[in-house]
Amino acid sequence: MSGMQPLHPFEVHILYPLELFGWDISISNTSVALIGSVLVAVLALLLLLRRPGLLPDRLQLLAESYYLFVYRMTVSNIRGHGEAYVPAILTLFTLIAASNLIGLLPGAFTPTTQIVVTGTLAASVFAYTLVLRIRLHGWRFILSFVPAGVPVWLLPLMMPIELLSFMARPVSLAVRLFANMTAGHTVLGVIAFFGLLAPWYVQWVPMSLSVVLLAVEIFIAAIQAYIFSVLSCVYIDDAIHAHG
Amino acid sequence: MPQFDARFFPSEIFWTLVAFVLLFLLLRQLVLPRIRAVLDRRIREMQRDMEEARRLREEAERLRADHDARLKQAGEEARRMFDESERRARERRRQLMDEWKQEMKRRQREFHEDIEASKNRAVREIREQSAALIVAATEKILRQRIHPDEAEEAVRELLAQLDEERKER
Repeated sequence: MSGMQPLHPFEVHILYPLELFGWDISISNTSVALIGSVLVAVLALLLLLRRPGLLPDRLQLLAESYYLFVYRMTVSNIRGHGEAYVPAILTLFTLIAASNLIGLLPGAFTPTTQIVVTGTLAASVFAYTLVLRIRLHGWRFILSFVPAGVPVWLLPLMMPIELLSFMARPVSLAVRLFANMTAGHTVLGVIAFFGLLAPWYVQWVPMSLSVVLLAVEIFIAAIQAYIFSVLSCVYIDDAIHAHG
Repeated sequence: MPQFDARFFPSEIFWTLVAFVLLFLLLRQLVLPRIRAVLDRRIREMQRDMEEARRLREEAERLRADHDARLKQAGEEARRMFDESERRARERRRQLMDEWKQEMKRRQREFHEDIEASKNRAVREIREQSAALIVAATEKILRQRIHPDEAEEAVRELLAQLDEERKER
């Protein structure tokens, strides 16, 4: 048991130190995994669409179904303006899904197990919705934190609560993804470690469990990408249709 | 937890944003145009097919309505022709019956007339012959003074002769 380090897969290693205008942009296993996820996702989609035809083959159908899934999710959650956000939400969904899935390969690093990665994405979505609120509604958007039908004497209590729940959105968005990925990979690592330690005649138990857990993790990877994306859509829709 | 080591935050933030922007650009430049082109083309094809199907359906409905109208017209024409033919047949039958009745009446009348004429002719001939015989008998009686019994016998003979002649005729 002395060799077991369950959090070891989440350690960041600088591969090539770099700096830009005083800002550390060192190439690490996180950045390699992120850019790798991007390239793998794009190459996979291009491979599926290598012979786009009017009558799609199975591969093209897979790519189209993927696009239409994100398209419908975006259009149905961002009322009236969904079309314009399809590329951004498709990017968000693809980046998270690819990062989650690529980390399931043996020995690969999972960028979404880093709180700063999920936090950056969540903060970007939050910042965008904030800018959108101010651009569309001005500073009157503050009034959208006043719940309808609440007595005036309750407002000093309700407004901070509403504001707090609003500010908690990016935190919950980031922590949910980070925690799910970290927990999943930790459990997978622990079970695999037990499998390696166990006597040969019972090794099939943790190994079989690892296969089942891997299947569950694949499902969770897709679900978490969906949750992050759909909540981003909801927040954008909320910003567009905020009523003060 | 190693994820909270703030030393790596700047580079991870940077590379996360770079990855997002890179993926956004690659998807928008390479992937989305392909998917959208094929989907748009398919939608256009489907709209064209639907338009063509709608046009063909309207054409079929128009042809069916035209066919129904012609069928109805043909039915009415056939019914009218049948009625006319039936009316003519009825008229012809009535006409033939009238002619036949006229002919029967005419033949009946001619038959009666023939019978009447034959009867009259026979009566006339009988009278003429009877008169001749009576005259002959009378002359015979007047020339020969015969015994009444003989006269009676002669008359009887004449009458018998007359009867025989009538039977022979």
